[in-house]
Order: sequence, then C-alpha cells, then structure tokens
Amino acid sequence: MSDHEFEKQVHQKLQELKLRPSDGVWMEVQRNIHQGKSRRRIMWWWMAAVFVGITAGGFILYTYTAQTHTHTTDVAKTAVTSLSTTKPTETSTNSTSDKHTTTLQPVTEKNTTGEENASPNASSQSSAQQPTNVSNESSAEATGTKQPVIAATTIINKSKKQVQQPNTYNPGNKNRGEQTFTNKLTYEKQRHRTNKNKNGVLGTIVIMEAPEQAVSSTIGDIEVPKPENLNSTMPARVNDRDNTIATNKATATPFSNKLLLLPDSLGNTTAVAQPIQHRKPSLWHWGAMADAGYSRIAESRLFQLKGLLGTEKYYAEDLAARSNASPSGNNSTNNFSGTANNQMVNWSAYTAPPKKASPIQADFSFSVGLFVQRTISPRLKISLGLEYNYISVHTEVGQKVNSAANPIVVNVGPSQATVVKTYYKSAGTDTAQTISGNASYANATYSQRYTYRFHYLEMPLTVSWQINKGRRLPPFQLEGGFSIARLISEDALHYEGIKGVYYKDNDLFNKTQINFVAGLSVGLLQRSKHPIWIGPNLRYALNGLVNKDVSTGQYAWSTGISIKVLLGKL
Amino acid sequence: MDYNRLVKDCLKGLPEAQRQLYEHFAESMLGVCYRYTKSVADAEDVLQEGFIKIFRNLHQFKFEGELGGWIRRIMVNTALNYLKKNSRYQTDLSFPETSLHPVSDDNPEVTLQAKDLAELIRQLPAGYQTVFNLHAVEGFSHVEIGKMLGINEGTSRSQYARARALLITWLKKTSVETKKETYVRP
Repeated sequence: MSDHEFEKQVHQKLQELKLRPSDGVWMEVQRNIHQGKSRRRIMWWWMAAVFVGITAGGFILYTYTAQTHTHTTDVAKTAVTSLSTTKPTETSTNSTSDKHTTTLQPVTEKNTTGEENASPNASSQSSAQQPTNVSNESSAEATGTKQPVIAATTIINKSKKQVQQPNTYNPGNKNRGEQTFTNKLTYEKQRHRTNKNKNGVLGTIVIMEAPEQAVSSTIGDIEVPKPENLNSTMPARVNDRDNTIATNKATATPFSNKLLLLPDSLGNTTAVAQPIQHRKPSLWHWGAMADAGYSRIAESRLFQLKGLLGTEKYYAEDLAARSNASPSGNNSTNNFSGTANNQMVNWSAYTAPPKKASPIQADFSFSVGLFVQRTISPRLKISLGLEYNYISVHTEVGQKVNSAANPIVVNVGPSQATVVKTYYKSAGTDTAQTISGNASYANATYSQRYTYRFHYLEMPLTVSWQINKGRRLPPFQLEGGFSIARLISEDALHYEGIKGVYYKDNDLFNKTQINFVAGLSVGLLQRSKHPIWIGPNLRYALNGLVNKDVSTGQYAWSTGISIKVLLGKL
Repeated sequence: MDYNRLVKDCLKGLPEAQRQLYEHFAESMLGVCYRYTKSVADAEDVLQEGFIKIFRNLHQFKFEGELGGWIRRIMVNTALNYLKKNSRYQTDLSFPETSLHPVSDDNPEVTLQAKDLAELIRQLPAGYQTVFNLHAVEGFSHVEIGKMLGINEGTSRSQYARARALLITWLKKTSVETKKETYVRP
C-alpha cells in the first residue's frame, strides 16, 4: 500500500458524506439574503443623505456667517444694482421719484458715512475705524438676521432624523443548544422514518439527547471506546474527549500540553509545546473622506481662532506696514509712474496714516480624498491621506483699475517694492456716481465682493484614538495630526495700505503649508463592510499664507463636518 | 445541471433558482461543515453562514472553475472563521509549534462508512481535526494550510502527523473490536 493510500481512502470516504440540513437553515439563509439587499440599499441612501446634509450645512453656515457680517457698502451696492436694473424714466414724475426715494432710503441712512467719504483722507479714517458698528446695525435693520438661524436649525434637525439601520444580522440557530448524535442505527432508523413521513418538516438528521448510559454505545459497526477500554497509549485527554464525543457535547476542552508530552501510539517522542498566535486580521484599510465647512484667515499662529463666532474681524494685512517709509498724504490720487525697477519708494514726505483694509470674512471650504489606515491597537490607528483641499474667504474691494500705461509701485514688506498694472481700489474709495454716472448716487460708496480661493493638494498624517469601547454607545474617536499641503493655484489679493490698493502677486504666497489637524468623530455602521466616521474637524495652518519676508502672519484655518468611509482592506 | 444558467438566475434574484442551488449543494456542504465542527448545530450554523456568503458574493464567481469547488472553498473558509471566532473552539484550536512529530508509514485499510469515519475525525482535538481535514480531505498543502491558519508549515506537518497517527490507532482499535464482536457473536 502506498504512503498516500490512507489519505486516498479517507478522501474518497468523506467525499461521500452527505447530511441533510434542517429546513430552518434555508429559511435563515433566505431571510438574510433579502435583508442584505435592503440593508445595502439603505446604506447608500443614508450616505447620500449625509453628503447632502454636510453640503447643505456648510452652505447654510457659510451663508449665515456672511449675512452677519454685512458690510455698509452692501447698501451702496444695492443702490448701484438698483440703478443698473431699474433705470428711472425721465418722463415719470411722482412714481419715479417715489421709487428713487424708496431705493435710496438706505443710502440716506448711510449719508454720514458717505459724507465722510467725500473727503478721501477723512473717509479712510472713519470707515476704517468704525466699520463694525455701522455694518452690524445696518445689516440687522436691512435684512433681519433671525431667518438664517431658523433655517439652519431646521435643516440640522432634519439631518439628525436620519435613522441608522441597525445591523441585524444574526447567525441564528443559537437556541438549538448542544445537540447530540446517537448511534448510526438510530440515525438510519430516524432517517427512514423521516423520509417516509412526507408531512413532517424535520430533516433526516435527528438529534437526540443521549443518556449517560449511552456513552459507550456503538456507532454503527464500531464501538466508541469507553475511557476504561482505551489502551495506555491513548492520552488521558483523548479519553476525556471520548466522553465528550459520545455525548456529543462540544465543550471547549483546553488543549493540554500533557497530550504532547506523553508518548504517542507509536512510541515516538514529542517536542515541547509552545503555543503560537493566530494570524491577525488585516491591519491596513483604505477609504475615502470628504469634509465641508467654512474657512477663515487669522492674524496669529495656532489657536487664535479670531472670528470663530463671527464677533471679531480680521482685516487684510497691510504688506507695506513694515516698510521703512511713511505713507503718502495724497494717496487717493497719487499714481506713481512705474519705474519698474522694484526699488523702494520713499514715502518719507508723507505723513497720513495708512488705510485699513476691509474685513476678510469666512467663506466655503471643502476637501475630498483617499486615505490608508493602519491599526496599531484596537483603539489606536494611524492614517495617511491624499486630499484636494479648497479654502476660500471673501472681502470687499473697490473698483478695478487696469492701468498698463500708467502702473503704480507698491511697497512689499520692509524693503521691497513691485510694480502693478492691475489692481483694485479700497472699498468705498469711489462713489456710485463715479461708477454709474448717475448724479443721484453721488454719496453712495462703491464696493464689490472679491473671493480669495486657494486650491491645495494635501497629505494629512493623523493618529486617532477611540475614546470608548463602543458597545452601548457608538464609538467616539479623537483625531489629531499634521498635514503638508502644496498650493496648486490661488486667486487672491494682497493689500497695500499706503495707497489703499489690492493687487495680485502669486509669488508672495507660500507654496507649501504645514497644517495642524484635529477632529472628533462618531462611528456608524461599524459592523458593516464600510464603517463610517463622521464629526467636526479643524485644520489650522502653522505657517503663514504669505512669505514671512513680507508678512507678519496670515494663517488660514478651516472647520467643518468631516466624513470618512472605510472601503476595504489592503 | 447547467450551473452557469443556475448562477445567472440566482444573480437575477429568482428565489426558485436560489432554492435549487441550495438544495443541490446543501447536503454535501453540510458534510464538509460537519467534519470541522463538534456538533450538528454548529455545522448548520456554518452552513447557513456559508450560504449567505455564497449568495451575497455570487457575482464574484467567474464561471471559469467548478461551481462546487468554489462553494466548497467558501464553506471551508467559513468553517475556519467560525472555529476561530467561536469561544468553544478557541482554546482547543491552538497549534503548538513543534519540530518533532511521529513518522508512520502505517496505512491501514479504511473499512468504515463515511459517517463513522467522520465521527472518528471529529473526536480529534480541534487543531488536529482542522489540519487533518484540510490536508487529507480538502487536499491543501501544508504551506497553504500554514497560510490559512497562520501557522508554520512545520507546525502543520506536525499536527497532521499526530492526527494521522491517532486516527490510525483508533481505526485499528475499532477494527479489532469489530472483529472480536464478530467472532463472539456466532
């Protein structure tokens, strides 16, 4: 007989082994198949709802923030817009005059500001010193700020109503408990009996509790060895197991080293047993993430979250503030002919203070990307991602000036100057009359909204720590780390306070940003194949937006709701 | 039976096709599950879990290999996972790392019926039982078994040799007992 004859016989014999399962198995299988389909469908709907909720929440948050910071110039802008869209007819008398009166009502309220703006120097001071009060009052009167709050609350409550479908998979049949086999004769008899009984629902495997006396009962033609019948070469543990097997109580008997230390049936020696660990499940996962919220710019490094609640404002940094020269006294009309040699302009002859820029306000931000995650311990994970990150802020600027033939020179930092051909004047520098040519708006200041947009490619490296076990409550985890971001493109302006102009110079921006990232998230659908983590996050730049040679600090930060979905193992 | 058509019908969600697929393979697959577990209830649990996996992942069947083999492989993997997860088996499913193991060329003739042979195999400790089933019945190499169970190839060989030796001893003993009984009976 060959070496593998035994294996061949065993293989052939066991291939013939067929046992009929009970009908309950198919019922459970059928139930789980249909349940699985509906669960997957619900999960996709749920993810779509979350995405819509995040987007809507971010938009509402952004809208709300923008409305609470309505600038005084909004009113003037409204007036200018009204002018361009509803041209008053010259033939009409009462009606047009009424219309004018109505339209210009807000402007009348702003006349104090407008009158101050009539003198350029004085206007720059007053508008710079008291923009907050004027804007808040006027915006509250003009628009009423309660409505956005109600809207935001309503939508957030709606999003909270999304009900998580519980993972209801249950292997079932647990209540069957321990079941026993009797001998083959009983088995065969019962099988015949069951086959004959067509009305019965029982399977052909009949489970019967065997009394203690049946411990040594035979299995078909063979007799299951009684403990006392086993020869001495049989390990004691095997004898114990025979009892277990005879009653078919599948108890978890510890695998004793004694079994290995005893000589086996062939009298061969055995080695010392050293338990080894089972292979762990995959520790690497990958997934997708997205977040949406709003972004701002702060003046200082970490944790000066100025304007987080919209009570404080950050004004664009004056890049000429550190120049050695003093500002011009006639800066509204001064157009220094471009020498184009980037030499420092000497402002020493001028004494007027610099103009202050318009406030920079929060705007929409979002990011999307992929990440890989390594499980360090059941509660500790580290992840590395690659994301596209968009942040934006907006401000109010004045009229755009294209002056290629007559460029101006602006100071940049303490010792540089540059020539700009296209720039924006400060908000309120010109009147609506200047822009529209209509004498009725002689006192209305002109401004327009300009959105700074930054596009980054970012690699975050974060560590997350699960706070609780997540048994009764869903799991919560804290996340923290750093990211390195590369500026792909931007559309943003710099401010020069001496002349009061905004201009573009992409070279002044830091191309590489180091950010601190943090977040708190709650885990959902943890038993599914695609668990989800959702919660608020914060990203704060550790180095400035603008080169430190010319800037004292402009730090971008963003906050919002983040969602992470694990998509698979690696 | 046209398995390809059956699978396609199952993928369409036809309950009759699903039932037919289940009926066709359930008995043989319960035989597979039965060899890895210690009770019929556990075997049926594995069978149920395995068929749920099969129906949920039927779209991954490539129509290249044999459907029965694919289903059998899923059942074996499900059984292994069940053993690892189930607390009743965890302590017994340890694989002591050994370098020495009995070497036996003994190849007794297996005269038992399939059911009786399966009963004997189920009396082996869970670790022995698993390795023996994977190697002797399913035909996996020790390298493959090592990867599946997360153990060394040598450990798998050792476990198999011990299981084999123990099983042969029991087979011989049952054979002797049967002969005695046969002799006494007249």
